[in-house]
Amino acid sequence: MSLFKRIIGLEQKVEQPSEQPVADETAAEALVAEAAAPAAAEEVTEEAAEAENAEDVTEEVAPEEEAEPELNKPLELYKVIRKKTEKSETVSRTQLLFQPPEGLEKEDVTALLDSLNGEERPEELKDITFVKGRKDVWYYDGTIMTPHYAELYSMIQEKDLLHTIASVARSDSHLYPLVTSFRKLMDVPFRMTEDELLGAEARFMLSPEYEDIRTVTASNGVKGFYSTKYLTWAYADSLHEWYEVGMDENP
Amino acid sequence: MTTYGWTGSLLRINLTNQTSSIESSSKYFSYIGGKGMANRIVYDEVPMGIDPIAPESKVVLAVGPNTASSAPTSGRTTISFLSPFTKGNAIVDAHIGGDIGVQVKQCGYDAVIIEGESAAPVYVYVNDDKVSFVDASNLWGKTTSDTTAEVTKATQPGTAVLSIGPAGESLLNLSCVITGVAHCGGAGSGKLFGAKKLKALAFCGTKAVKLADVKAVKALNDYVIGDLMGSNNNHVVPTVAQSWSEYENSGSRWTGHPGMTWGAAEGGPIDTGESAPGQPTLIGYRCQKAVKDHGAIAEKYTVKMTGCATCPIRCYGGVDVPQLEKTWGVKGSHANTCLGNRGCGFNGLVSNVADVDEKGDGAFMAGIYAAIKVDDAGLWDNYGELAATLKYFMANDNAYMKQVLTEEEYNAIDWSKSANGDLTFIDDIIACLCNPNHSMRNLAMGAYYVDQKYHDIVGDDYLNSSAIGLWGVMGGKRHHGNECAAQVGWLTNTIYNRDGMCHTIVNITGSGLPYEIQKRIIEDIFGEGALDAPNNYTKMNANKAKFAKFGVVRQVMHDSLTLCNWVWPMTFSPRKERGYKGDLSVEAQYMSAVTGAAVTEKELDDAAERVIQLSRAMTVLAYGTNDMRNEHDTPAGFIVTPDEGKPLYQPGTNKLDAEDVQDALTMFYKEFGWDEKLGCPTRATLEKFNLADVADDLESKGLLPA
Ligand code: SF4
Repeated sequence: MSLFKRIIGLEQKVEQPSEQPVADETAAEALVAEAAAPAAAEEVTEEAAEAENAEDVTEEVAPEEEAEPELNKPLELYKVIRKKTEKSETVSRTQLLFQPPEGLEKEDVTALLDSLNGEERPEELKDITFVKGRKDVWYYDGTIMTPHYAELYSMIQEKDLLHTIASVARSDSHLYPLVTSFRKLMDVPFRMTEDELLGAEARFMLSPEYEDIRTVTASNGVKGFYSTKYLTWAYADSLHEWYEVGMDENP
Repeated sequence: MTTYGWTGSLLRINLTNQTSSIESSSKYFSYIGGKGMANRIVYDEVPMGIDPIAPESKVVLAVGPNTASSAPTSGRTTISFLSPFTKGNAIVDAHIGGDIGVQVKQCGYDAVIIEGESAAPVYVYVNDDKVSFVDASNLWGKTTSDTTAEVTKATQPGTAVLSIGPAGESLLNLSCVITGVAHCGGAGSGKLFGAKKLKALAFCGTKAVKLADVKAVKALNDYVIGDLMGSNNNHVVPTVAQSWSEYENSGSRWTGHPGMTWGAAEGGPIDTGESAPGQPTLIGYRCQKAVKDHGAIAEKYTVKMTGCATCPIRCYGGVDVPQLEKTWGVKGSHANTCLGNRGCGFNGLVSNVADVDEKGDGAFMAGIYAAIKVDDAGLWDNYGELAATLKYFMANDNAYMKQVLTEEEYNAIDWSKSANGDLTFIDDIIACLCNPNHSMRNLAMGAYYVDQKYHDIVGDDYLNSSAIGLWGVMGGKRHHGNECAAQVGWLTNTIYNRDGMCHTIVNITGSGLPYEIQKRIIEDIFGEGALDAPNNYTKMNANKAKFAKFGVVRQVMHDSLTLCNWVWPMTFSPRKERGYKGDLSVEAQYMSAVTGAAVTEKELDDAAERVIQLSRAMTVLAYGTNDMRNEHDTPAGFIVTPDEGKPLYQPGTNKLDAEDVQDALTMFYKEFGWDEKLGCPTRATLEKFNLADVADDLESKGLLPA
């Protein structure tokens, strides 16, 4: 588990990317192509080919014998998750159960999502991975989204402000190291308001769970959070001043 | 025999006789090109120690084998001459981008030597082999942008113009040349042009640049852009989390992201979006430099990013601010980068600028206003030193300024404008600086000379203060010095006779990657302890000296090849699949593919080091002493003065230990094979780099160490 993952406190299961050489990833490519252009992709799937055959047959036989192509449920689920990932979003288990992909029942979704934990996972879902948040499990396509981003995005969706700020501040303080500026938290993807941040600052002072989270203010008045587990005040002060003021004066 | 990469020719322009000649440049190939070639020409043709504006002083522009080859960021030019603004008037280089280098090369030249002095204002128009001397009396006194417009109109489409403004004409030490109404080459170059009555140079070339292995160059371009290049300063991590990224760092110049636009783009805002590695057509959206330099307010005024020829990064923020014309009567179209984007700090001369449309836009308008005025005048800032000096003398109700100006001069200025948000104060100050008879010009001589003249007033404080921020008391501004990898950054500054021009190290420390990743990669190359954590440094060691040497060797290599050191070297990569490790062999691969000479990484490093050996020897000659340690490499006091409550060698400071600085110099000198006590080249080292003639020269003047 990476340093960031350890600090950020989100338990997660990241599926390793396929070890197959790129040239062999035809299945993934076909799926990606299909997600992007379903009509074209359907022409090359077995199911679609069968459907086409069925249509040919239909012209010759009675209409009541027309067979519905069987829905590829794992593929439908994959498409929904993939589409979200392409929009730089993760999707929660709750959301998927509450609004199952078309043609799937809640039970189908439950079974498919549960299969991601075991060896029986369908081929169509091999790129799907997830992070466990405090309130939910969040799914995404690991071939185009990093676990880091998925963690951040999911945490933001869970709207546990103190947990989010503390997790990011601990990670920033340890990893880079740097102080997590209010500016960072007010920008995408966090989009917190100044009032929220000032409120959090006050609540951190009262919470034993977050007793290591403190603020420092640069000479331009911009505040930032840091963790005393990793930075002393003097160190945090110097780093924050450099990021907020020094860097701008010494471009 | 066909010459690849180099054109094989140099152009000599004599302004006294208004003649020109074409000569072979091949004897300078071993200096690579650009800075290396220009420095050697200056050494060969200009006596060290003379007045930089003496009639026999010369200015040399040089491009390199890579210039106009299509290599990314290869459109850079070096201009070498004697410094008018730092101690000893030793060799300095101005570095300039835009299109001028490509045009010089396509005219068929590796270098252009400008010698003599014209009797009357002139501009020189070079169209391949044809060189015209054009009367510039009507342009004298005009701004750089007006001059560029008029010369552009009078010459062929595609001509690149390099001009001076009133600052250079009036022989101000801190003046520059500007090309493309945006790209500035400083170090006092404007003064040397002004002394020669050379208002502008214009180049329009039609010749092909021959490459030894076109396919290899194309493959290298694809590799560099796809796998190695991040954003400006090769920052390989975006400022905000993107779905493909493992890290984000607000200090990065990879500013573009979904939701951030070029807000004033033709046809409507363009989203800068995600630009993951491996998408070459999106790389130009990564560096939203107007926002980086001015803050979020600049987004809606941003037309696009612009930059130097063959650069996919484009670090110049092009903005259009119609409110400036409405409020201040100044056409608000401008492009520049870094300090130049805020008028080199001249915006800071005026406070309380009223907002126009929204909260905070007054300060932004001031930045653009100052940038336009400073560029038009062709003023140069010595990396912010000029504005800092003016503020220093204006502090405490103009306490020192009153002692610099005559009573009449002082009373003629409406000082209240400064505090009352009146931007025309900037015009008033610039007018004083460009007036050959005004005493305020003494504050634009360069800090070393300001101190010499006003030491009785300012005592030891001025030159040593953090407010002025010099790396050394010889007058060079700190530029990615001790605040960047502590001793390593500061040591790189000492190589220059101006502000530290090396970006190699800051490209690493500012990359945005976590420290542990930076450390792993850097220690792999230079050994344990080479890179400290930010603001948490340890005592000097030999590996830091190696790392510092690498920094300057690569910078010199880049300015010689040419490649932009604001992006190169490719120490890191944005690709997680590579473990973020870049490739330091690419420069040598380019050199081989472009010129056809099979050059190894080590050989090219040695060639660049040779240029440093030469320029250090030139500095010794200019100073007339070989005691570089005490006469050249002395840190400004603030660098070795601990901050209150932030002890040395504890997390929280980048201030250096005075004793450790001396050890650092000794180790650095050792790396270069210099006399470890004096810091000057030895005969053995010069001969190792095939510079025996330079050793003889030093010896004849008693400047070789015993
Ligand atoms: S990064 Fe900036 S300075 Fe360097 S070549 Fe590109 S535009 Fe020019």
